[in-house]
Amino acid sequence: MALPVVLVLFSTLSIGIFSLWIITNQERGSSKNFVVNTKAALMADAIHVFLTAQAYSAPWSERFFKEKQTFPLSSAGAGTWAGNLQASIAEMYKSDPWLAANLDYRGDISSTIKDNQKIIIITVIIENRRTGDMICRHKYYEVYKRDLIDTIGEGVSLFVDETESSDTPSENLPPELSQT
Amino acid sequence: MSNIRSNKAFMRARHGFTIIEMIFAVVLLAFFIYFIANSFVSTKKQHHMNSEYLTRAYIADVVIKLMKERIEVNPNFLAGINNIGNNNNLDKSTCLVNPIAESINFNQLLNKPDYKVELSDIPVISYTDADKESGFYFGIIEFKPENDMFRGSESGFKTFLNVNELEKYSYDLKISNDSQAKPVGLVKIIEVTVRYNGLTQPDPTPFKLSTKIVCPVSSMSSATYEEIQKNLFKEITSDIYTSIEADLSRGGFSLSALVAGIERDCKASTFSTMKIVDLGMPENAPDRPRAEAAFKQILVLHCALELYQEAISELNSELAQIGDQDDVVSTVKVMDNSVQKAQWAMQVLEVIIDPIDDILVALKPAGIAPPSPDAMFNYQVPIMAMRYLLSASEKDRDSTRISRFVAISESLPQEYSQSMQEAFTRVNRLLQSSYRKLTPRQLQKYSRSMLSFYQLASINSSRLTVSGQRRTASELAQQASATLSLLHSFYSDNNYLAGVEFVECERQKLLQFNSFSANRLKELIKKIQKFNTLGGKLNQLKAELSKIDAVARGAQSVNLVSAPYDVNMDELCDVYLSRGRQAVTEYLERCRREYEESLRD
Repeated sequence: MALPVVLVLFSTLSIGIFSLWIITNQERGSSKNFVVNTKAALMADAIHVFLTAQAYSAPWSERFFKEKQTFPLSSAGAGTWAGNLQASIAEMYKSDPWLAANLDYRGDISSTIKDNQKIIIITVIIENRRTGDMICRHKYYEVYKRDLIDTIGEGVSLFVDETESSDTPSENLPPELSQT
Repeated sequence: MSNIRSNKAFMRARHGFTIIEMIFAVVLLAFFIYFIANSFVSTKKQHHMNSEYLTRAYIADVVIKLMKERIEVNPNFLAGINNIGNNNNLDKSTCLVNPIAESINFNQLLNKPDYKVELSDIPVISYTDADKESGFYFGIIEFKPENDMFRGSESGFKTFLNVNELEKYSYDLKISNDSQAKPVGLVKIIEVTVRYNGLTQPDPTPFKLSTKIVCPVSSMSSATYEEIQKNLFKEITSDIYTSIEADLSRGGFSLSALVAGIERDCKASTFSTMKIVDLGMPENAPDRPRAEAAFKQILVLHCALELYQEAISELNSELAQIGDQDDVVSTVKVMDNSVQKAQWAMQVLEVIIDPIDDILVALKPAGIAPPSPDAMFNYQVPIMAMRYLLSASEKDRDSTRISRFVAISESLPQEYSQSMQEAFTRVNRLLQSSYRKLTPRQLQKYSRSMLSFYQLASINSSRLTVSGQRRTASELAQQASATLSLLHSFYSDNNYLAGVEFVECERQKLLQFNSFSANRLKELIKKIQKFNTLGGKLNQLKAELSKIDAVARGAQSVNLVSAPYDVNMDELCDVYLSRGRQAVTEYLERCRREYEESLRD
């Protein structure tokens, strides 16, 4: 007689606790997602910043990305832009082992000229190192403008978050750039 | 039968829990209670851990976002952090909310190659301002929960972030150079490590977040900025060289054909000094490449100056169309137009200085060393260059080529200086008349441009050769200062503290301009100083041409190498043309004898 009562009581409490556990786990999942997304977004920013700086540290005519360049390159030599990028990100990995264990990156950099504007296009994709799932895909457009009033990297730039986009990445420039 | 069944049911209904059942139930209940309590406690613990972890992550994210935002609002902010120094023991009393001290030294901005700022245990401090608005100081940056970053959802933010416990957190901030990004100093690594201090022992799981930023020019070290400027100027000249090559290759241009044409032209002259020009003679073989090299430099000079003249004419027409309006669009167009003109002046200057030097070398003959008759041919390359440069200019038939080159070259410093002053005046006028209508972003952008134009107009300005009315650097500084004061009041009245901070930094820059420019704008000063040397070089060029011309016409004698007497080139060439090489030797010998006799007399 007591057993059914105990079992009913146990079942009720178990359901409650299980719900709590589910909620806590979901909360944990959300926290983890927040952390993964934040770290991935900042890593994408870091790659974009590095490449923008390298783009600005050389004259336009001597840019290394006249043709589309992908990264990382397995054959990147020391001292080359790709080698420097890899070494720079390796420093990030060293300083935050979580990044090294969980995030991987790839992307490309290219350039074009539209309406006399010199444009640098950088795509960065951050993936889960373990599963290979994409975490974010960011595309950055920088208008390369240098004159006596030297404003490095402070020109018109446009950022497009293509993470949620199911379409294949477009090669066309966004319309906003023609309005700059 | 039915009675027996009802009795059994009655007996069963009255039957209580057996002791075994009781014990079993109690044990089971105790186990369940233990299990449930344990689950509850661990879930709660997990929830706390999640909350702490999330709070750490949020704080790190907020700090990085705020840092980037602050650097954007005030590009001097990084330099300001540097000014704090590596104080490892920041606490609530020493932690600076506003690190931009008045004493910020703009000459030493992040000026060490091994630059690193490490600030540890920066506390989070809650406050309530005069309007009873609550907020937090994240050590060196201020944070308000109702900040736009969280779209005003203070309650949601508080739920998420466990605001009541925020003061139990602190963070370490580390800013260093990315040594892989060249030039070193252009990219900074920002690393934030957040710790929870509510435990009895040090936080075993601090949260780390790192990213990179491009160091704004305002906070960049002189050495890094110099590197960047070198590349900027490298690009400037390569564009002009490309245009020159395109110009020269158009229409099947040939340098050797040009030299041959000038040779024919000289041979057809009535002057004997020109008639002797003959690059085809075997003994004159080295003169052909020498002549071609000299004419290549003359053509570079010619093409660069004509390109400049065309570009300036176009830009002047554009400027005339823009008019004298003070609206944003017109001002931006004028600024762009002025920068382009000043840039053209600088890039053409950069392109023509070396050719002028080379032409000067080509105009100086090796000299005539008697008794060798071939030595007189040492004058043929300078004479050919002189002949070409003193002929009528294609663009202006009333002037010679050299006078047109000189006129355009002399206008370069004037164009540079006036353009910068024009841009300064227009942007200054826009800021003074429309500062209430402009957005904070525009105000920051245009006041920075104003300071840049002031710097560019004032660097070494006292030496620039400028005709017409020109304001002194101190007049421009006064105007810039007045505008900054106006902006300062405007920002203060509107409680826009980041704006006040930015204007204060810009004021400091203005005050420290002389020492600031000497350290930070070395590359630019080197270029601008070339304006000062240009005048001297042009005068030298004119003087050399006059000298060669006088020699060619026989109006001036030629000094001989290792001999103290002079000879007349015109007579010498006459002798060669009428009587041949042997006669030249005899003529030189006669000159020597006459000189020795004059000494005896």
